[in-house]
Amino acid sequence: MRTPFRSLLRSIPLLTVSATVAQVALSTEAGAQPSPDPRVGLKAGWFDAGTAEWNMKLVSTTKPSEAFLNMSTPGDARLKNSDLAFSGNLVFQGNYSGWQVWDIGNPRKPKLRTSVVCPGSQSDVTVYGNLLFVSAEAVAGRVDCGLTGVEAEVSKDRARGIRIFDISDVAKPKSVAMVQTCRGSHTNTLVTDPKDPENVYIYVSGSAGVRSSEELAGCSALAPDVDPNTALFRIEVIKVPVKNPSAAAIVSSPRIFEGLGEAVRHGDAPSDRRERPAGSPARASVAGRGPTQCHDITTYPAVGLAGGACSGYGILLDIRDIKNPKRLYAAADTNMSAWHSATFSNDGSKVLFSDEWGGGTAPRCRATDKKEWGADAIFVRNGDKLDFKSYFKLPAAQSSQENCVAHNGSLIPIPGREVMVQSWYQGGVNVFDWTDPNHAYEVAFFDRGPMDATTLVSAGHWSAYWYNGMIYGSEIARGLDVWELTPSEHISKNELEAAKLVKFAYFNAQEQPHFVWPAAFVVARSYTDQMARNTAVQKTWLSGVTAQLDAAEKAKGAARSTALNKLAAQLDQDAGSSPESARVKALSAVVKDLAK
Amino acid sequence: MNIRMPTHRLAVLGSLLLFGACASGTSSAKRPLTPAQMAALDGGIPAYTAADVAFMQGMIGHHAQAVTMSSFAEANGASSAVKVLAGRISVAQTDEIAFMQSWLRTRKKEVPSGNMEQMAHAHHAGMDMNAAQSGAASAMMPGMLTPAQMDTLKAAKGGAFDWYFLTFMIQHHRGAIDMVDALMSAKGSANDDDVFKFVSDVVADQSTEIDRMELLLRTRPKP
Repeated sequence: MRTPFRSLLRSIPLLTVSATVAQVALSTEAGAQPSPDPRVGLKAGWFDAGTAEWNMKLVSTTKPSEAFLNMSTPGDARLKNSDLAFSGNLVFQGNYSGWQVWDIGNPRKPKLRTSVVCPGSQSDVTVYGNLLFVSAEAVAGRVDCGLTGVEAEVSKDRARGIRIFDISDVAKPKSVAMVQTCRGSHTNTLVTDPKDPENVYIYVSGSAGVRSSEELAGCSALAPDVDPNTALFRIEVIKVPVKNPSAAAIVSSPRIFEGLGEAVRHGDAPSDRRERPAGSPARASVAGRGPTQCHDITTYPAVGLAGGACSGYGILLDIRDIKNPKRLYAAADTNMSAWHSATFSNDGSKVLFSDEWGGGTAPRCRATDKKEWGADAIFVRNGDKLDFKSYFKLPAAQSSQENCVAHNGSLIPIPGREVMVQSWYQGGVNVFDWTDPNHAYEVAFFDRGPMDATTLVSAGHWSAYWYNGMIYGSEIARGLDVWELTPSEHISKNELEAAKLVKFAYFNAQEQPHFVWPAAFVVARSYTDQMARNTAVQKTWLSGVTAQLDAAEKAKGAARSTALNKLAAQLDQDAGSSPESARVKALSAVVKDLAK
Repeated sequence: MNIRMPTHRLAVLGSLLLFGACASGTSSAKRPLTPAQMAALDGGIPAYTAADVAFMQGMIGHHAQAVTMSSFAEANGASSAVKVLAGRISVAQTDEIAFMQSWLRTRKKEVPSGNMEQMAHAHHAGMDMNAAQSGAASAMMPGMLTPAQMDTLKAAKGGAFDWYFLTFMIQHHRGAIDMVDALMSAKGSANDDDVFKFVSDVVADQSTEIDRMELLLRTRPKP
């Protein structure tokens, strides 16, 4: 027998309900964190560092393959592992000297499929079908993937831009194109258009220096008022014909920062003028004119938006016309310097930007570092604007020997919540909930001790992403980590099972996919578990709902449908006056799907 | 200014490279060297140039001055926005000084102290010729404040401090970006992944800060 929800609600003043919720939320967070935090004071070491984990379990660590492991120099800067991309049972892992492919059919024992030598950091990887796109930025990268570097200042051998490989035989990848760009590619982002299956697009973000026009015709690092065709203040869009990738070419160079620097554009003051040192290029400084580039762009084609992390701005872009993205809004924040990447909530209503303050090689999670600096900033969309809500940073203080700042992560498909996993270099990896944009909190973590007890050896997690049920982390010096989340007071077994129902054929974190959950009892129970955790609804009402769900699951055929339809009708009736109105409606939708 | 060091390592590397190239060109089973094998040959120290060394030594002094400038913000009554900015600059550039010192130490090069007063003292007293030279070199780095500008900044209070701090720090940051530009145009320099990443970060951070400072300056009248 269910207790009529509305009658119960009437007897409780609404204010009391919400106050109780807030108090419970705070005390839950305070009481749940392990104390003292086991991440503090972990033993240093390369492959034997101490570890701490909470609500997640390391299931495997696979060292870099032989070609990318120099045992005589821990953390060798030329052999850093970088970003990850996923396709089927394969993980593509970038490395400053090339890239590796791991078979994760058994995540407890990833198997090396191939390692491709091709220096030219950062080797940011993106996969689509039989194509792999790899970013090349460094001045020493070669078109032929050779190891000898490029000595000459101007050389046709230098590779800066997007390398395209055919991976139809993953054991024998073939280089099919090298799309050269003026600034090289720091990161790259895939954009697909369901109406245009013949082509895919790559947004190229380049943050390094502009090369000379002698090396690549048309490249200019002049200020836009001197040279309107400057390679600064723009991104590049590459169009890739899927069946003829060697014809890939730049199709537009959108000036998405146009106007951002107008306000401060003026001539150098006398105090700014100084003797130019011998040998330095005679060109005007472009600093002080707004951002000249993006660091990374996250596209979310399902909502037609992209979040650009561009120098001092977090930029919201309308990408419905892929070749001509339009800036809707630019957010700036005193506490954010190096806007790094963006993650949208599944419904697109919220955006989380990270600030890679110091570029990822500095120790910015010490007890003395402010919580607002090198953190995430959470915004809520307000029409075309972004309203700032709060910061979130790794809560455990790290040592001066650990480079640490906010870095790459992805959403975990738990219905009804924004939960994401994020990497913090040597700060490790954590999972946190930002459903309430004013109050993000940690729900799981993994951390290792520093590489070295006395000096900072740059390492740690470059990225950590959820992919088809597990979390994969690219460790700069230690290889590939795989974790599973374990049920806890913060994430229930039902929520985990529901998350595992969302499967993708491929995944690039910078092209955010939209989560859609199949009709399943664990999805329905994710919502009831959340309502039980939040304690806003009456216990008796909730136990009535869960009892009906249990009974329906036990029933078969028409009896099940009848029971579910009856429950859905009740939920629809109660939703309007429920303090968890949105969740009750979402539950009702799942129950209706289950009834079909 | 284009000397690759250390030369003995280069000789070894050169012969092995040649060997690797020959081997890969024949049908015999010898494989070309892997990146890890290449890396192992130089003891974790990739080739670098005299320009890389001079850049690091000069930039330590350059950064040290920014840290000193930032240290005045609290006592001189800077606005909260300028205090936040000065705080970030101080932390960032102190960390970067440590990185540059570590880079130089690993390569057994002279390591400037990173402290303005110590560097000036060494220079005047002639206690350590090498340190003195680095100190003298950094004193001439682009964008650095003259002693008169430093005195002006140190004496300025409140709104006047904000204006001088922003104006001088913009000048200072622009100088740092020009130093990176000069390094990037020196043959063979910044090939080391650590150096390339470091200088790219310096430009990214400081050009962003210049943008912010230009905006802050707009609303502050010249004293």
